[in-house]
Amino acid sequence: MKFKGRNQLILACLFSILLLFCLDALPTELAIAKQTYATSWSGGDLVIKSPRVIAKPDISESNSESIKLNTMLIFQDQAKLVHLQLIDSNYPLYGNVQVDGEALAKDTIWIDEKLARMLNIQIGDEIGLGDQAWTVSGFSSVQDEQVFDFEAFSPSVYIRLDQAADTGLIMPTSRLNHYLYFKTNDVEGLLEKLVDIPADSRVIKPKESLGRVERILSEVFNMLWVIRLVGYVMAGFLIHLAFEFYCRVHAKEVGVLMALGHSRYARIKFLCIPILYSILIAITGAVFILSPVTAVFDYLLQSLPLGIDIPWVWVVQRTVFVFIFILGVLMSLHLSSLINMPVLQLLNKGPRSINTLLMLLGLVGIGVYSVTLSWDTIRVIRNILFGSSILFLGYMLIYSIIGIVKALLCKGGTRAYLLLNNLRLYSYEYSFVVLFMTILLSLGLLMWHADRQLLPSWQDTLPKESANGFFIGIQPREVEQLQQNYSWFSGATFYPVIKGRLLSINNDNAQSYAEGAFKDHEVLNRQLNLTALDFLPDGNSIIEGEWGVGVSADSGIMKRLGLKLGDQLTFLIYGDERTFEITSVRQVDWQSMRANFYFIFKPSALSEYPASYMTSTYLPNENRGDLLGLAKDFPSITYLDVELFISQARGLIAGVTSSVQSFLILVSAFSAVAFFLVLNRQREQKVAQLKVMQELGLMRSKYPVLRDELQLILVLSISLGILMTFIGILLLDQLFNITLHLDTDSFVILLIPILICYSFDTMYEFMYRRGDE
Amino acid sequence: MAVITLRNISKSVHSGDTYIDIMDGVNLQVSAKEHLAITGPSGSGKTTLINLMSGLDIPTSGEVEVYGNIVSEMNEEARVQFRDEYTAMVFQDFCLFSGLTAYENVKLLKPEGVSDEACYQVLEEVGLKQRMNILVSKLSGGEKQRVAIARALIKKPKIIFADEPTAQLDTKTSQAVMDLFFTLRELYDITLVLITHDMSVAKRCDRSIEIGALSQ
Repeated sequence: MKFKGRNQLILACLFSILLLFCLDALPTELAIAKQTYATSWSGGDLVIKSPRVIAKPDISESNSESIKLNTMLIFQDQAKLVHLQLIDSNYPLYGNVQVDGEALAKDTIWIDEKLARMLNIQIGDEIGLGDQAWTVSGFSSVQDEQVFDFEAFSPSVYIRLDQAADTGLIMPTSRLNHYLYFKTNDVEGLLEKLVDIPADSRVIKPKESLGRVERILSEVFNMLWVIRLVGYVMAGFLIHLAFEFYCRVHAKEVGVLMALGHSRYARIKFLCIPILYSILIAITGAVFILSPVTAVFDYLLQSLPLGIDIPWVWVVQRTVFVFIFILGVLMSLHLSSLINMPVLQLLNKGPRSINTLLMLLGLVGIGVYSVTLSWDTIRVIRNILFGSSILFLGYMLIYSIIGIVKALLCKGGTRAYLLLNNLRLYSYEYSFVVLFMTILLSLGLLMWHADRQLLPSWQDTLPKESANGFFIGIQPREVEQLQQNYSWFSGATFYPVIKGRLLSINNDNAQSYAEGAFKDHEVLNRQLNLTALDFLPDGNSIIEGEWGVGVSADSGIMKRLGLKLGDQLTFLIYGDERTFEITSVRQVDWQSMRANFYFIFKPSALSEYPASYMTSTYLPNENRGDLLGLAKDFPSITYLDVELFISQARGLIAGVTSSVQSFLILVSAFSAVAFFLVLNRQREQKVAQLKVMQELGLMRSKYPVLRDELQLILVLSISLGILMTFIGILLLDQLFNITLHLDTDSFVILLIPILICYSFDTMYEFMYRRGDE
Repeated sequence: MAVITLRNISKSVHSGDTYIDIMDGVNLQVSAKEHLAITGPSGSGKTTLINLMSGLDIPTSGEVEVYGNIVSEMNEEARVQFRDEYTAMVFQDFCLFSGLTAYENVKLLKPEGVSDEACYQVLEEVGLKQRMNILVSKLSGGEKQRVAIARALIKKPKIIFADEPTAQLDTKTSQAVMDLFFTLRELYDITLVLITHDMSVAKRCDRSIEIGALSQ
């Protein structure tokens, strides 16, 4: 039996399943992985992290200790920055450090296998680290605890904790962290026993919170939840279009059934059986397509250091549930609308539109979805209002533009008038298509610019010989020696650095800020580099207040934390709580390659505390060989190569870009399918119109063909896409100080919608002609 | 004995900002097995009248009684059930299921308990024995209307309402279709209410009324 609209249903269902599956797989997996691996990733049931030595408590619970810092490793004539981990025999309590080699004996070292490959290090080789030479006894590959440790940006090396003193790197001013890991079933009980935890320590309870990792993951999840929601809306729109078409072509038949006395049950059966067949075919198709996709996913995941196995059954269950839910809701709405219509309306007018109802339901759905993500009512309402307003405004803008186009077409001839009529008939669907194409184009254009301009443009703004490296952890006695031994240090400014943590703002605990709107701000979540200077550093200017009296704060941080002149800031510095008043506000050029500070104190304020020094300098290529001697002579100094950071940042941007590009491919495919369904819905009307025109003897140039409509949609989408890109560039500049310049090369992206539109035009031209024959 | 009784029927429809009275104070009776032809100019309310009798529509005021059922007081689903029990329809534009064959169109609408053999038989009676397995979209206009008549007959209805069943057919085909109607009258004891513009068809019916004369 031939049943109209079935192919469209199969296509919509198939594509929706694929879309939901792909958008569900990653967030679901990350959520499960987060819970499953939280302990391993953090290294214990309870972890205490402190910049100072933590007195090891005398308790029965199994525990482990480590110290981590960044330092230079020397091998033959090469020096590399590494993440040194001093570990005891109990380490790790949870998870695993995969090592190919022997146990970590005295005077031996494990090094990262990638670093070993890069420097061609073999087992048994000797390498320099700190004051001592160490024999390589193993190569490490995976360390569970380091999976999301963003401080360990350089390759890891391991030595025994009991040899910490031998390295000569552990000094009061060293930038390092002490860790204590505990294995326990009673975290709270254990915390009560740990009375001597330093105030500036961070207590991490992995099962409740992964600390910084948790926040970063949460942000990733938030983004993925939004992407998932977009996926739900897209899938819903596709299925809606297919059902709308299905109901329209069968409305009269249902009317006939009613006229001939068929009961409600018989009418539902008549409509539902082909739908069920379509769903079964779509599911079968999806299984065939997704089987290899899951295999590829598995393969790709194995190449990541996450140790994650995707529980596909769970993902499939979830996808099926969401798909059935969306399908069920839309099917019930469309079919009940059709089944309950008066018979004469079905016979004479066709089905009534449920677009308004669906729009309202969609908004309610977004609301419910937001509530399931967060029970913070205000946030939910704000998000719903914001999201709905943006979508509504976007939709209304496009709808209005189509209205203007219609008004303009009214002034044209027959061809323009008929084109106008087609737009009037399908303005709802066309608005959606234009909206999706606009999003697609503007995202594509923005990604193009971000990918090509973000880092290069920043680098271009720097003077030719601006600093290309930072040296940190310089001891006071070493400053003069450095300037004497290395000419390229001669013009460098050495800034004293004293570690401190912001405890309170105007006597309000900083943690209350940290748990509120500023929870992700690093100022509230880590040890800060404080400095005391009697001069205003280059690239800094006072924009308010008086320099050199109390604390001078960066204007950016003041704005973000809502601070003002006269506010009292309390810092914990080497165990002392010290309160200072903000007396000046500085404008800081953060894009310059200089050492910059959020807070600068007058010299006398911090004179009683030990300080290390840091500096930035331009290291000419011909002097890079000096780094080896510097690392040998000054083992506690760490060199941070800016080029290394830039390549890491480039990698990060490339990762984000490729993720967004994958998303764009999904959106493009979705737009194409939605477009196809929209056009398919009009096919009969267009064929009929074409026949009438031909019968009336009108020349082909006198009546509009599909190409006219497609060209109109293209012009609208491209204009709006470019407009939205301009707005995006402007917003990036205003809100994030990210300057992008419109690059005409990026317009190659415009080929995507042009290709989609002309492919459809060719396809339909062929179908119409075949229909004519 | 009257099987259809219309008492003081009025029907208005909403059009834009105004109400249009299609009929007002109509009274009519149709006897069992009677063949009634309704004629009248376009827009006079012929289709509305037949819709009211068949329960496709309800009057603004007045009462429609068919076989003792007050159709005008029934809700939509009750009227569907009523039509299932008493009536069948033959439409001007056939209203067939284009994706199905002639046989499938008849089979789809056969009541519970009626055998598939009966579908073949009724198609044979309307002269489509050789064409019953062809998609209706491939049939000629006359053949399509024969399928529609077969589809109506398979229900063994007490009344058939036919709204200009020959309007889309040429004279010769129209004649053949109407011959079929009147031939089948001998086989099935059916009341037929027929809208037509063709006076020769109207004359072949037991009674003919012109719609203009109904409204007072």
